[in-house]
Amino acid sequence: MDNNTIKIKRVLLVPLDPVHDVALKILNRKLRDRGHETILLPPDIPLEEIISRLTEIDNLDFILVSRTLGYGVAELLGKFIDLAEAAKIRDKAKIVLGGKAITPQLAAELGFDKGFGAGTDFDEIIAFIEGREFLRERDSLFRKKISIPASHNYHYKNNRIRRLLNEITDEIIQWGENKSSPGIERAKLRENMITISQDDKLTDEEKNQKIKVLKEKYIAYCDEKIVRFYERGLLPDKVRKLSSEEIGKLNLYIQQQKQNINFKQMRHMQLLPLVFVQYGTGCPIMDIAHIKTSEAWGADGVFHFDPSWGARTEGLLEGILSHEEDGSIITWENLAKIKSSLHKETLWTVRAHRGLNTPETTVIAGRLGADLTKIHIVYGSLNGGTDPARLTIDGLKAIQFAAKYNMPFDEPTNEELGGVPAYKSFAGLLIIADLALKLKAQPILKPLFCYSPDVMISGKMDDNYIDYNVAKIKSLRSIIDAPIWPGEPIGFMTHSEDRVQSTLSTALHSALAISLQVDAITIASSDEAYSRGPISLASRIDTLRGAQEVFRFLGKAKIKPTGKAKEYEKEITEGIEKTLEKVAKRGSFVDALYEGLLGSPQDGAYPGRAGRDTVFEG
Amino acid sequence: MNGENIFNRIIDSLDIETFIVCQSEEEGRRIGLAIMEQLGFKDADIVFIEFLGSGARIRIRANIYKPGDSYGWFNLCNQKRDKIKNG
Repeated sequence: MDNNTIKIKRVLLVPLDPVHDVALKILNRKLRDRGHETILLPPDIPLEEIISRLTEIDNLDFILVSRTLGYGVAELLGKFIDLAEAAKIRDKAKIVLGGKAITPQLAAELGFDKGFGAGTDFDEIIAFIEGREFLRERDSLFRKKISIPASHNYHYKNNRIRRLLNEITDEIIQWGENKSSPGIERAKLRENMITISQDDKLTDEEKNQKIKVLKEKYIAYCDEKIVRFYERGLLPDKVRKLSSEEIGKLNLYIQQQKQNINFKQMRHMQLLPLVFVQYGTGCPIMDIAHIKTSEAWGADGVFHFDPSWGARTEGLLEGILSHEEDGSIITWENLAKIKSSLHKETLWTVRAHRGLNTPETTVIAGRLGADLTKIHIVYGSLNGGTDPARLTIDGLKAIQFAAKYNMPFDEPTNEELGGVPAYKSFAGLLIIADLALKLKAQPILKPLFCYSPDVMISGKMDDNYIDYNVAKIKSLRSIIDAPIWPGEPIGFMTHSEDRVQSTLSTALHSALAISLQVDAITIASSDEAYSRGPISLASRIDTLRGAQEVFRFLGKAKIKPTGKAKEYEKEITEGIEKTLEKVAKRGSFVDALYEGLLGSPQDGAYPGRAGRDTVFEG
Repeated sequence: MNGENIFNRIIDSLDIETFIVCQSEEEGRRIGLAIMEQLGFKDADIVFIEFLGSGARIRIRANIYKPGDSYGWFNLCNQKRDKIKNG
């Protein structure tokens, strides 16, 4: 409700304490800001004098009485009500009670019209005075799914770079015509199997028959590890099916968690950045525990992190499966169960980006209603272990699926962590973003906030972690108006095993993110640098709390970089342009990947081998 | 607590943070693990240790449940949550 439509109320505020009147002063200011007429009495006035003053004031709508101290509270407030009744003040105005010593029950027992206890939101009291329903900001404004690309138009601001990208991505699309791979064929078969399983016109028997035929074709495109599962029911090492008893309990657990949840509010004055955490404990039960806890502590989104072997294996398993090591296995059933646990306003992203199951994962995510996915051909080819030609064709198809299912996707530039300079990884990032725009998809740029090997060697972060990260964001913004979501997680390679240091580093990088008004961030747990065991749930809360605290600290204030940021920005933009010139001149994006133009072995990037020689005409 | 194994209420692990008086980081590690052993935890690890001056700031972790285990808290999910309060 805006201030113009509010019916003005006359409100008297009465502090019934010797000194404690700060809350009433805040409320007084907030009521006046909304146009109400208020009178704030000073503290420590005898009850009789207060009543005497009340009888002299006309046309009061509300009398707000506060009491912080607990001793003798019932007697004092009871006497106040008795005096008010005797003076016929109750007939003139509603008398409302609030304060740390108050509970709504006590207020009702004493005869007040309404009571507000400790921890009440000021806006709840104002809503009561204005006679409207109170909607918590965390429920209305802050706990809403936001479309990350919605506020960006994808217009280029650097025409030279736009032209180079156009040339490169035309070539990629042309190269990809009439090509396919086992991953693409499986994705199409999976899509058909899902369609059949959801077709209400078919009987179960008809569905099973049709799916059986498709499954046989599917298995023909799978690795031995997956074939063993489908043909003999053998699961890979360290993987087990959850029992039906466990699944039953899991359903109940999800139901309980959904009933119990109460959200903390992460952000203070601003809607951005959205805060994501990644889960992938290996076990869907533990994943759901992490997700529900992250939601409760204010995370806006969660993303599914799968085991590294999953990216190097042709084909996906089926069933609700638990895995003893990091990364939760991608199956339709695992993802469906996890999806069922999410709050309706929680953003969910399933990473598909780097391996042999990229198109199929995108299909499953899309059909399950994931909000986002993750696809990056360059990173997956140079540091993710997948053959460049294979991932180029699979990536092309995955981007088309992402567009079909209306899932924006982010592109993580994690090749920087191998040593590739930011400008080269950004050239790759922009190529895939431009490709996505041609395929009518919505790319999200994901530069890293990190202490990368390249900046360690070049000394660009010797003074601070701010300038170079600012330069990265500003360089990208000088090229295109696209959503930016630093990851993955922010502060990569700045964390140590020290919980305090690790949390603080995440928090400070969150401060930089809010200062730059990026669209989203992914934050680590405080166990980020601890590699000898699983991430603990408590460590997730550490960093969510840390980020929340810096959002409160900064509000709308900004972090100011030094003059070096401008120099670095120019350097990065020039580097991007030169890299794109080389790729365009090469005339083949795939060859440019093999030949190291977007990251070479000297940089720390190596063309992957998984799926080599599997691209075929078709 | 009505005989309930209270560790069933820990979701995954129990961290102990303290300062150990010792002569070296190595000694601090040994003491840290010995503390966990004396407390009865079989699966423990030093998450963080920093030795300076008179001893080591340390965080020691006892793993109660790892992903994929049969979690005590999960098995309790059919039971009323207030049992522990009333115990």
